[in-house]
Amino acid sequence: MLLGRNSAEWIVRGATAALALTLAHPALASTAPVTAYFRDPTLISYVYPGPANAIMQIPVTASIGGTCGFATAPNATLFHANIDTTGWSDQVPFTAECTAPWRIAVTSQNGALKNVGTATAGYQNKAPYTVSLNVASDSGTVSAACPVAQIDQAVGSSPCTFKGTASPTTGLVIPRSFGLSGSYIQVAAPAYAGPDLLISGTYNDTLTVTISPAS
Amino acid sequence: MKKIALIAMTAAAAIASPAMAQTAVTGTINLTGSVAAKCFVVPGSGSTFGETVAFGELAQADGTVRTDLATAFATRSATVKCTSAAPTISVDSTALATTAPGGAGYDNSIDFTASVAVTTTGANAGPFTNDSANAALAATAIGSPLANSASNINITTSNYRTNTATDLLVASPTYTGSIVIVIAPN
Repeated sequence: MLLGRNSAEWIVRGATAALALTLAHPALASTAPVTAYFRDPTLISYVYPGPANAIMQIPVTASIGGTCGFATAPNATLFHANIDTTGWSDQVPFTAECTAPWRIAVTSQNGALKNVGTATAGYQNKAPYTVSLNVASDSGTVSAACPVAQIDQAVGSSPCTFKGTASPTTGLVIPRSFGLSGSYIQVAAPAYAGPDLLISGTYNDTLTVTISPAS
Repeated sequence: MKKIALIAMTAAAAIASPAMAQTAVTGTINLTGSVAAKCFVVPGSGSTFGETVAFGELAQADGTVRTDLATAFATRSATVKCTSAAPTISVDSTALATTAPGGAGYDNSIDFTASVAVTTTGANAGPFTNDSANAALAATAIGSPLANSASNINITTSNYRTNTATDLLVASPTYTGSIVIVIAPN
């Protein structure tokens, strides 16, 4: 009997302590140990110093974090010749699968289409263009556009709403959007207006598009 | 009973953990463009520039060639722009001449020297010269990008002459000559 009583006591103490350590839940009224005593039917007149059982209330809460990813990522390689004299435009489609509000952000490696050559006075080795986001969501299409210079990775602060790497707090906020078609990122520029001349050669830039669940 | 207690602890830990949010995922767009090496005339972005210089009477009162033709020619300017960093220039002058035949003591052509000064972003701006009595100046590196400014090509002439200074110019209604300048992007 003594063994049984001790075992019961250990079980209740152990379980209570385990819950206190694991959950550390503030909703528990008290984490003080409670000792319950086995009632031995042969000790009818024995006065036990504690209750016959210990009642534990265990509040259980759970949450489902938003998930966000690309069903089809905006991956593309684009080329346009004679960007000094001819306007150009491209749309790169993508499909997001985000179960909750999310964010999308874009950075540019060069802040322009850039030529590696040196531009002397009156010449330029960087050609500007515009980056536009058009994102389908449960609440309709969300659009924003910025000059690529505003999403240059080297720029610290920017008025562009989608500059940077997406995080729960960075990027253009988009309502839930799971598998909706019609989203695209557009890059475009008119023929270079000058007054400087673009030096001859090849121009490059890389846009990195990231998405993340929003906080 | 001990096992039951341990299982309860595991279940509690699992319930307490929220679903993991997925980290940022990425798409990459590579953009490439090009600008051709070219030269063009401003305004109009055309490929030629030019004008006609009308000297009028070429002879002095004594019949020899005028001595002020270089002054009359003055400086002729054009604006040429190139996208390349190392354009070239060639100059080919052709004497003022007429088909009317000459003869001893006469001349039916007037040679001269053309000089083309080029404004660049660097130091080497010529002048690039060619005398009409000589072969054309072949394509020569200008040495620096053309200045992206108006009137960056300036042409002057000098040393107008007949074969002999005392030669009389043959009477003719028309003497024609030319200066052909070719600027190429290289």
